[in-house]
Amino acid sequence: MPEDFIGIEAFYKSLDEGILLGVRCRNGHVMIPTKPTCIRCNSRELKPIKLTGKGKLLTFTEIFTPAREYEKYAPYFLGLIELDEGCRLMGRIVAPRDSILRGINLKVGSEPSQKEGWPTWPKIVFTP
Amino acid sequence: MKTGRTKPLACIISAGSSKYGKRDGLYARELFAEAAYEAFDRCPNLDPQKDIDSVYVGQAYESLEHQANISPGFAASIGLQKKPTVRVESVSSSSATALRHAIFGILGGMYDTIMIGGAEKMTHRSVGEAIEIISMAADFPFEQWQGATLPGLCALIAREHMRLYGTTEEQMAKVAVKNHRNAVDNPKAQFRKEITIEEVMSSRIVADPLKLYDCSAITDGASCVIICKPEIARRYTDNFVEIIGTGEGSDAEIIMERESLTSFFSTKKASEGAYSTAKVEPKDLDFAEVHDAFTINEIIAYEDLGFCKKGEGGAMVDQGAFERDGKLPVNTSGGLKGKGHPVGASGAAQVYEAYLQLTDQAGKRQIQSPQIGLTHAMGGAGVNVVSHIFRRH
Ligand SMILES: [Zn+2]
Repeated sequence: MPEDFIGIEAFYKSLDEGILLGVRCRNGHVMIPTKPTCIRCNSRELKPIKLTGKGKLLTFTEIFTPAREYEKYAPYFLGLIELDEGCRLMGRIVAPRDSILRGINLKVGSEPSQKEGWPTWPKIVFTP
Repeated sequence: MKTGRTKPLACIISAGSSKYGKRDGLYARELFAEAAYEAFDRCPNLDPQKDIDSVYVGQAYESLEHQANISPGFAASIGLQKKPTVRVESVSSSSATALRHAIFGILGGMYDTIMIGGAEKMTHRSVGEAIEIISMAADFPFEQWQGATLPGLCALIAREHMRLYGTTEEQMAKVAVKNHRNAVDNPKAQFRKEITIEEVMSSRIVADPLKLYDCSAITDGASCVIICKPEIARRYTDNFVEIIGTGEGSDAEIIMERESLTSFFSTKKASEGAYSTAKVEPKDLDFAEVHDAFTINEIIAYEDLGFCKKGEGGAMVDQGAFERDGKLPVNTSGGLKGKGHPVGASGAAQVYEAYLQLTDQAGKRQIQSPQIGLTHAMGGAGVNVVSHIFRRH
């Protein structure tokens, strides 16, 4: 992997520092660095870009039966947003219940999780 | 005969299934043996030790029984120790994927007769543990870690389908009602009790808009089939079933990277493969067993498999098109909903139902002389799909 490789670990480290990091391929496709290859054109030349962290809610659900890691939040809203740059992200929505509707503007933030063990990735939080 | 043009890829000479449900004190290998013994007993001319060349096993979650490399134990449990075995894993489509690769083993000329099965032991875990383990089917860093569960992903999809096509929660409920009604006549099913639309609608919310009765249950169970190359099927039985089509498709493993949330490319690709190898069209089918881990999945399957136009799945449910006496019976076994969903076994369970229907052994749920049937098994929320088409011999 190249020295400036942006992968899962770098994405979450940046998010912990308040920066939403994406990658742009040689053909201009912007994506969350979920994998080391562009999901649209298979390019391996991915350069980091700072995303605005602003997006619109595409679809959501309220989860009443969570995995153990999320028991403390339940019930909670899970959303899929489309960022201004066109790529998508999934996370927990923290907003007044009645305000959660398709199309609302949300911004990406994070909550730190444990500092020991694996993973130490923060949790993505969407707020108005 | 509706179609007689294609040569079979392989033939099913026998099949078996354990009783599905909460099977306290029985583990996956033991349930697998229950299924295998039925298959052996149905086919007395088969000498398993002599005739079966290999055992392909579908099993999804090794965390459930804290057991990796599970297939040799399965084979040894049915007297086939020392036979080549392999575990195939693609969550809910595991044993359907195993069947597809077993067919390749036969077509490649390496094997003559193969046992394919699947098993999952689940109910010894608490509900919280089970939800967590089942949700391992979702992407860990970008879905599970962000709070997604498998029902949660299907709920995101359901909400979009409702918005785009007007699909209703009542229509989803009717899928559950239909599949539970079918399960009443399946002695192997976990739930042999009819439910009402009102009961589904008032059941507790799991992931809005999906309620408890929109979701398949946690189940212990195993199913299997035995296939062979077409030339030797008659050596074992006259009552065999021909496998004439197979297809497989995959899509982005993270749903946020999909082009469409409400149509599964994986299903379309898998069914294209199955229809084209079989030289069969949707209108030629007499029944289908489709993936209904969540009721919305069955509605989307109608559309992606070409049983109706995109967006019309919900309306077709209202018309009763997929009831046992409808235009195209779907999930006569009770489906994953009514029969139960021991994840790694479900692909083989669909094939078990196709085998019973096409050999007129389906008992009270038998449909009238079906000629051709399709199975559709899905791993994850539309991630990997395997489809097969079967013909009465
Ligand atoms: Zn690209």
